[in-house]
Amino acid sequence: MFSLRIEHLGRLFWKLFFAIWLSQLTAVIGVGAVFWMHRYTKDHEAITSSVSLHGPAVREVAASAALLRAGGISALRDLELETQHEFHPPVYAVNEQGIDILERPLSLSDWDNVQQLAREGRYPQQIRTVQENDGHRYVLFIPEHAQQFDLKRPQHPEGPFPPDATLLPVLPVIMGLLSSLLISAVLAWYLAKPIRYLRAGFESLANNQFDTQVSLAMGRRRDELADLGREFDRMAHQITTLMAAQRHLLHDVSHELRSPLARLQAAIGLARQQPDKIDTSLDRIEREIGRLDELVGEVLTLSRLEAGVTHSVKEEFDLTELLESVIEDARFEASAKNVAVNYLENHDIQINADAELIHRALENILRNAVKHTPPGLSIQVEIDSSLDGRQVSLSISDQGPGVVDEQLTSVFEPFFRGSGNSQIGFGLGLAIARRAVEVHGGSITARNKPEGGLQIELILPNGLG
Amino acid sequence: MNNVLLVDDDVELAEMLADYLRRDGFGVQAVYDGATGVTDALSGRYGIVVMDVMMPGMSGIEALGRIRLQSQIPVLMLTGKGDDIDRILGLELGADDYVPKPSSPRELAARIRAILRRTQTSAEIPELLSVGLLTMYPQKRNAIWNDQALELTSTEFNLLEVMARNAGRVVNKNELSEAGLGRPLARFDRSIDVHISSIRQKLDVCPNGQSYIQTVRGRGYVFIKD
Repeated sequence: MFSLRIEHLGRLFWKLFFAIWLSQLTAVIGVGAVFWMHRYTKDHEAITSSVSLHGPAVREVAASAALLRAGGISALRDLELETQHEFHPPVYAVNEQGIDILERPLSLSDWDNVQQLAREGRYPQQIRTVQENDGHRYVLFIPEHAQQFDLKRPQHPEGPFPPDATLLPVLPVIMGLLSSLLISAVLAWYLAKPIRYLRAGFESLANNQFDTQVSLAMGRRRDELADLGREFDRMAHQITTLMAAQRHLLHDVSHELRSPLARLQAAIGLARQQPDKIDTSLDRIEREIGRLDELVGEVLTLSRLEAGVTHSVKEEFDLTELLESVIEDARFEASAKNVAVNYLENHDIQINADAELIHRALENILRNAVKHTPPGLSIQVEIDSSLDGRQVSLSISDQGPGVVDEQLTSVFEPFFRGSGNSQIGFGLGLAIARRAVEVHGGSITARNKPEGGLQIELILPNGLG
Repeated sequence: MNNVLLVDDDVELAEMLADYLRRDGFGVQAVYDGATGVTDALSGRYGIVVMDVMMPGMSGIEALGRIRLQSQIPVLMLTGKGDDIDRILGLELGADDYVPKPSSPRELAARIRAILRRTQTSAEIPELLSVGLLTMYPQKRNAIWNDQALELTSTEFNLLEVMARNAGRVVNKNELSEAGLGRPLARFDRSIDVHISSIRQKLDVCPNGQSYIQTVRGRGYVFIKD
């Protein structure tokens, strides 16, 4: 997975990499420069920082100087010895050789600083020089870092900073450079990687590889890029399903076209072979051409509905009235088969919809019911509006054989045919009805009635705001 | 045996084809589903079965498989034009030939006649043909390979017979098509290759691991003599 082949990384990676690296570098250099300068000035201040300059120090040093003059070294030594374990700044008294009276450790640099300050006469209050009777000269002061002086731990001989501290810090600079390089590379790679996966996904989708899955490659990543990957997968899946449905439909259509064509061929063959029966053959040919025409029309309607390219003109009309006219038409067809269509009259129900599509849907469902009801039996049609008046429910039940429970949703698939009635229609009627209802935001379901027969139920929103 | 069993779920089409074929001198029985088709095909009353591939319930392919389990009766499949998968599958399962649907009843009658002609014995056919491990009895229409009976469909039998008669010589696909299927080879037609591959599977391989039927690229097939 972690392939660092340069040509695979892509432009985006390099852009991100340089942007991040540049900003990191700027930050590192900036912080480094501030730090270095701070340290540089601190080194210059270090000379004074060797001595405690606080207010109390003035008093302490003055008192110690007075004691030294009055009582000599022994008096001062006694005082310092007595108070060394208390929280009390120790006053150093250092002779010319740099030795404290209590031989407390003192770094050379500190001592140099103190001597320099004493020579220059700076801070006379905090650094006092006392000429003792024994001929020695003592410099009294309180070392800065000895505020909480600990006798057991000797001070660092070189002081708080290494001697070369004033030089440019080479090692930290190199470390900073390397780590910024590494961090920017990792960050850029991390950001650019999912985009590369997405690109590969689009590429394979464009090459008709519909089983493309990007989110798998993204792993357990949780961010907007991973979301994008999941959305991509959803889209690819959607396209795949649509394509499969289209291919299936095309296959079914070509098969359905073939049957009337085969019958046409056979009828023509018969006409040639038996010129005496030419009239029967021509009748057949006419019938087959009619069927072909009907099939092509239905396929076109369905594909328009599927594509959503309907010139759907919505208007307000009375659904009850429309239903009654469809029933009238169906009764004509049904009476030829001795099938009754029973309908319980209801009040007017106004809806706002595409009347032509709804008419088509109802007609298809009702004709389907007539086809499947054996002679002598009846069809039941009911219509009602819901309690809040926002929906209309419509049910059409036949007394036919029904369908197997597993096929209750398949009856709305194009070219579905229940077993044993291959000669009736093309199996497009209910598919068209479903699409027409769905276009209006309604739903259509089929169920087997316990007493036998298939019931198709439609729920339609009235569409009136 | 001029009796044809017609299996097609399209009742109207089947009736018309039956009418046509009867007038053409065949005895025809039409049935409308695969299951009945299988039972009738195995009844021994028919010389050939004409069967539609696309049928609800038991498909033509499945019905063909069931027939082939018990009988080598010639089977002619009706397949949709362009349904190459169905066609190849049908030939692999032992169909003797296929007729695209829709095609004219005249074409169908010609194909049926061609298959029947090939399967019916005539006096000129030699009684015995023996090449290497293969012994064929064209009159009785049975074949023996390495002392074991070979189960061949009639088309496979015809193709093997042509190649055995010309053993050691390359037989081109057109010759094979004329002799085996009774029609010239159509463009892009893979039926011969499918039949040959099916025969290959029924023969053992040579001691050197090669098949007894060799493909000569661009020319045809050759049956190895020894």
